[in-house]
Amino acid sequence: MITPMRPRVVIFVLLGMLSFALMPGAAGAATVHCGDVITQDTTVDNDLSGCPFIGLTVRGNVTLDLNHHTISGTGDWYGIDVGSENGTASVRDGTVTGFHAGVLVVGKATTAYVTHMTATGNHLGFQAGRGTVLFEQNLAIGNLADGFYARTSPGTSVDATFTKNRAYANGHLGINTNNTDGGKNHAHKNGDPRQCIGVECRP
Amino acid sequence: MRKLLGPLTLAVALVCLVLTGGQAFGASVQCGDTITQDTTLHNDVTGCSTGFGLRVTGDDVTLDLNGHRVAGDGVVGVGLDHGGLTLRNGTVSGFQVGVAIAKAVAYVTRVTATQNGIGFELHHGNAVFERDVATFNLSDGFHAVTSVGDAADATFLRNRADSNGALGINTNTGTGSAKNHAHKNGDPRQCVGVECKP
Repeated sequence: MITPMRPRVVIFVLLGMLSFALMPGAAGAATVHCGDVITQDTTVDNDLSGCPFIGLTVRGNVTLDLNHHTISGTGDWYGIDVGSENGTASVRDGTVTGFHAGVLVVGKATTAYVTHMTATGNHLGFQAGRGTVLFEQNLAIGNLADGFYARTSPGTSVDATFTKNRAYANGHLGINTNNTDGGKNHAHKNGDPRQCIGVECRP
Repeated sequence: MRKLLGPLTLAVALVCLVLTGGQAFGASVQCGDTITQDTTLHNDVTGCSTGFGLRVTGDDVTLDLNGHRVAGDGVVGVGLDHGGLTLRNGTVSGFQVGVAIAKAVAYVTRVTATQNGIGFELHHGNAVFERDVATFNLSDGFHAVTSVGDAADATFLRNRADSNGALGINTNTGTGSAKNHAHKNGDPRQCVGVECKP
């Protein structure tokens, strides 16, 4: 026999559920638009096409889950601009195409995690300009220049780690870095016969 | 008296219109603004943390920084985006790319790019860089490297690139370039694609 809950208990349960739903940082499924700045956890509900400038900007200790959607641009600027001064900015599960750089990590104090992303038909697939970033299980294919680019110069603070990424048929190198090899990266049919610089890549 | 006020007001308005026609638009410009007509800055633009500091677009548009600076830690300090564009007389600092050009015919002169990731970068289009300075940028001072499928043509005239992290000028498309100077850049070659003197 099922005992009915007392009304006061029901109210507490409902209040608890409501509080959880409204809690800051809870992932929200959202329709996004070209140029949006993402400052809370977001699961994307739609593709974006023809973004003329920057597709999406991610700022802060948040996760952008593209939910298998595609962000496409007009070839000139940047697909996803990732930066964070506190915590880790994460980008995952989607495709970026038609930009100067598909995914660009910027900001001196940025910590970023980019995973299960595909960059194709960009000038550069993935680029780390500054900050600390882990590229894990991404795919760069058919970009005009490098698939992945992260090079430290004197004075820069780029610290990129590459783990289990694949880079195929890009115009120059599959992975071009002087940072950290996290292992198990693969590259072949890239324009530069060396395939990868700075990390070991298998076909 | 009242009868005079109407025509007088109209005349003053007409004089104002004549005096402003075709002249540079002077304005308080803010981070993220898009410049679509000739503009002369009357203020620094600082604290630009996302996207573009300023974007310039249109046919025959000049942005005169008028000695002011555009500063921040966003992606692009000044983006020259589609059209016939001129950028002159100021400083851009702190961005991933100080000055970036995409699908434009651009003339960039007397601009200093300092403490960016890359000082000046040509994505696509035609650009003349003349008497610009790139200094203390983390990577290349000037970067105009095309790949198969890109269309870019950069000309470098009388620029200086000192103390950048990688190359002073890095190009594979520099045509008609002359009298550029580079020294103390991180890459011992100093310049690739154009001749640079110390």
